[in-house]
Amino acid sequence: MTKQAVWITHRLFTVNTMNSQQIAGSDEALQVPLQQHKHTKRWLGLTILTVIWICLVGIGMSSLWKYQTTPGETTETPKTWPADSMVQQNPNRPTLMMFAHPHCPCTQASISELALLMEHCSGQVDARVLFLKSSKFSTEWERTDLWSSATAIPGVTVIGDQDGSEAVRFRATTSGDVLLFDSNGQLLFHGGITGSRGHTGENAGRSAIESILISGKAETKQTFVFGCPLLGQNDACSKENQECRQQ
Amino acid sequence: MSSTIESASKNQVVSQRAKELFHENRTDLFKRTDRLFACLMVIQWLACIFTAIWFSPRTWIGTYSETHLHIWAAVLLGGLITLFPVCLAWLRPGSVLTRQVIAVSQMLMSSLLIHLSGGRIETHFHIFGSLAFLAFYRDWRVLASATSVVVMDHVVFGLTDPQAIFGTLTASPWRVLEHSAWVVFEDLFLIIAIHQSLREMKAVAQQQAALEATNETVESQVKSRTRDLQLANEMIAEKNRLLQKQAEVLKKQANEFAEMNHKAEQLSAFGKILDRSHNEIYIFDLETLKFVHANRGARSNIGYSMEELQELTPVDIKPGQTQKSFEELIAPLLEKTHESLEFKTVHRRKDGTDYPVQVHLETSVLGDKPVFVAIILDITEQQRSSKEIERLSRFPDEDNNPVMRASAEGTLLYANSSSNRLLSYWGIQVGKALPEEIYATCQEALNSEESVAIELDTEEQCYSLITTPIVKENYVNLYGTDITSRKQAERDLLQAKEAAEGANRAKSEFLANMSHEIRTPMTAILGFNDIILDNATHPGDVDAALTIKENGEYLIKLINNILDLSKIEAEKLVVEQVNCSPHALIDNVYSLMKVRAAAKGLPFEVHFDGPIPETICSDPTRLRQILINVVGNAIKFTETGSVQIVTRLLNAEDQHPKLQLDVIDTAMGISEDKIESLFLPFMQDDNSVTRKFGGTGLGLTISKRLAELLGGEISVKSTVGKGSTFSITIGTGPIHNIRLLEKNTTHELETVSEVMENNQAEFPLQNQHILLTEDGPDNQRLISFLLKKAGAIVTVADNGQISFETATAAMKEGSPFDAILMDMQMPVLDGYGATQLLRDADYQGPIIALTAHAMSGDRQKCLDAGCDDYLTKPVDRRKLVEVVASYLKVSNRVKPPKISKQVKDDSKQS
Repeated sequence: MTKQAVWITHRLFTVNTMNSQQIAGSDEALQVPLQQHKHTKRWLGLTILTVIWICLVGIGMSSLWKYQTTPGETTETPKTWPADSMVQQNPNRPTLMMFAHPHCPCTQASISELALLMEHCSGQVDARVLFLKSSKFSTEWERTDLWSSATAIPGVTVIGDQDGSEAVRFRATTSGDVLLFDSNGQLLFHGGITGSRGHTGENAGRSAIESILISGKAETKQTFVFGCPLLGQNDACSKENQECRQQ
Repeated sequence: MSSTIESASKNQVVSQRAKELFHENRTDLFKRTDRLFACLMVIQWLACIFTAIWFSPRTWIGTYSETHLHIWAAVLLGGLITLFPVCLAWLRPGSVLTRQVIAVSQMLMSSLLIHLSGGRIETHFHIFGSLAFLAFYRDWRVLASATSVVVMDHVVFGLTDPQAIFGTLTASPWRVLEHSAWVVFEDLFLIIAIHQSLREMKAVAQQQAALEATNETVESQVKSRTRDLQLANEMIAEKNRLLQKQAEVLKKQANEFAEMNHKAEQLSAFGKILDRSHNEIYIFDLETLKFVHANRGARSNIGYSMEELQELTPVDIKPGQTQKSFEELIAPLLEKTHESLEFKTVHRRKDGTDYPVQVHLETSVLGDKPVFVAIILDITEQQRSSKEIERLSRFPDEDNNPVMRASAEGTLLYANSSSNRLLSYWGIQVGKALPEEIYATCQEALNSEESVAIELDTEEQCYSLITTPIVKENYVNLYGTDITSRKQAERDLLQAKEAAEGANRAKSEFLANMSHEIRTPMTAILGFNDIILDNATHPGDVDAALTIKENGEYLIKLINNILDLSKIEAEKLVVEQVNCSPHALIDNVYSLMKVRAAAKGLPFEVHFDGPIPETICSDPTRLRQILINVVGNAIKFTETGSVQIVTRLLNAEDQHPKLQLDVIDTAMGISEDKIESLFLPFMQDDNSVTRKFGGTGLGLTISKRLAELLGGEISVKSTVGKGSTFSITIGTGPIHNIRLLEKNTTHELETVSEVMENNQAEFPLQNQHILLTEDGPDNQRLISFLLKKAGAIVTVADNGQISFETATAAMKEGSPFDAILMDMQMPVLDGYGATQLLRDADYQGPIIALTAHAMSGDRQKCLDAGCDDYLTKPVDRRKLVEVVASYLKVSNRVKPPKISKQVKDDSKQS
């Protein structure tokens, strides 16, 4: 006889005789409150555990959030094209200078945004991406995927910045830092072109540059830069003009 | 009414069961989905870590790098999000809290992925995928919780940092609403799907519950029927058992009856067999002694019918037996001192004839009546056989030859009276061991299972003893035969044979000596006769000298033929097997015989019927001898017409090819009855032939024997009045690598011609210093004269020793002899020894043997001793000079090739 058949036989018998039988048992009656108490205790424990878990997850997510949205160090940028710069300024059209760390994972988003920008403003700007080139490492150290990605963007010239000498001249401290100069060498814009660390998508920096190049004006002339510290010395600030952390 | 109530309560039960099944199925579904998500979340966590490691392994501060925060976030935060729901799925599967926590953590994982990927739009699909997966629970509350997390995430973070969530600088409430609306939109469809799915689950549960109820009803009915059936089966089985027992009792009784019946049949059959037996069985009364019963065998043999016998007693059928004597005979049975009696007596048939019988008599009971039972065996045949055996057993004793039998162990079991002499010789008698030699023979016969014959030579008589094994019974019969007279005859025959062989040896020695002794003076006679013939001018002198020459040559030929026949019959003639040219040989015979044919004015031609081998392996001397003989006969007996030689190769492709030479003449022919006797010695066609043509009558006999020795034969086809064809065939030896030529193109004849031409010079041996070794003074004078006449300077040595000393002395003086002629039979040191000594002393010049032994074996013996060539006595002066000149000429130039020498050998023999 199957399990279901047993059950049905039992139920049929129970239904037929339900009115004539008393379901009673002193032991069983005592067991019910004990089980309910146990169940409540267990439920309470689980609820507390769940709340603790939610809190811990919230703290973790907040920390991650904070890291994502903390910009790099902001410095006073030269208002004109530095005279001692080894990089040639384009006298015929605006020149865009991006300083990038070749191994910064967040900078991939900046390169992607630059690609979009160059596509939107094709032929209106002369872009140069200067990758940090350290004499501490081998000659191919700066030749990363970022370098290749930047090289592949039409209208962009990729240059190796030996020990960040040009970054110092332009006072760029964070990877992804972008400076836009007009044909006369006057600074038009300074800042990052991503919304947060390694985060692609619509952002104030790219919108401002596109606006400057298309209409000649923009509401925003400076934005935060999200990326790895470029030169690695006293350069990581949580917010503009706020405390800096020692490296 | 009661069925309606029962149906209602049944529906209630089915409905209750359906609810429980639905609940069980849902719980199972929750648990399954919990397990699914537990696995999925662990995979997501690992994927999250992998993504972080792949995209942002390290963060850089200038040239300094450290582990990226994303990796720690993926490991720690991802782990925190994943492990709590996984633990709940493991420990509390199916509970509401578990699936709610899973829903929340799944959305948190989506959020983490979005943050780690930098808000890529692709990762937003994770939210929609997660909602779809969460729909597996078929619980809209789970979707509500998950959606709440998404909405809260967008509202809280979208307002605080919209760029991270929406990729825009400002968080528009419409944007929040749009994102949330997409989620709610998906939720709406998922909830509808969940609702439909739950309805289906309920329907399935209802059907399953109804099916279970039906199954139970059917099962209970089947049980009831089965129980009834079992009861019926048990009753049937009980009845079967009773019936089976009764059947077994009946079967047992039937078997007993069958067995009794079988015994009765056997007894009846036995009685019939006894009745049909040829042995006589009589039953007679114990008191009256009258026959009660006699079987058919008894009635048949004694001739009385049953009715007649019943009136008789045993005394009536036993001649010479009285009532009293019979009662005495059976007294031991009546007194029960014996159970049975055995005796021999004689019965008399109804017709009065008597026959011997052997009687076995005993008492028995027939029904309830005591009777005698007599079993009678007619022993007439037995007695006759005994007499026959006794007569046969006397047979060995009646044999005049010894007949014995011995056991395998060598003990003599039997010996007839004729063996006494042999037993006396051996010193044994029957029962003793055989002599060791005879025992060994018996063992050999037994082991080989074949008769072994030996001969015994006692001092007085000889016996042939055949030992025949009787393997089955493991003894040996020895049959002796007195062979004394035969042995004596054999001894006489052996003596006669030895005497005959001695006589034959004496004859051979005589013939050899006679040949030598006749040849030696004949050398002088013919040699000097040639000198006389050269110098004679008077016709009468010339005729006389020619007569001496012809008769001398005939005498030499006769001696040669007799020697050949003698050797052939003694089977001592050995033929050579050397390579020779059949073309050259035929040409040579042609050259020789065409003179004779021309003298009779007969055309003589040679034809080749197809190509023949350039060389064959045979004895050229003997083949030439055969050809000359047969062609000579053809020319001799042909008066008109022509003589032809037709040569052909037979069996060219066979392993044993043959060369056939047909000698065809147009003589008077030979009648068939004479052909058979043609090849018998001293026989010619008829005596008139001998008278007319001369000849010894040995030529064809020798030729036939020689042809057979050369692997062929000679056959004759002849037609009287038209002519004859003598076909000579000889074996050619292997010819597969030999060229086949139509006619002779070799240079051998040229060589011969050249030699002959050169020898036509007047003084072919001019100033050549030749040592002649010859013991006969006549021959010394003759040969010296011939050599000197040819221009040579001759020194004579009387024997081999002198010859050796003279030649070595000349060598030491620096003027060795140009050639040495060496007689082979000489006193002191013969020619063979002298030649070997000379060759050992490094004499390089030609040594030419000169001997009266004219057989080919002798020639080979000379060549083996170191001679270069061989000349026979009587010396042919022309040949002598030619041969010596050829060697001197050749030694001054180059030594001739072997083949040329062979041909010269052939030519010299002519």
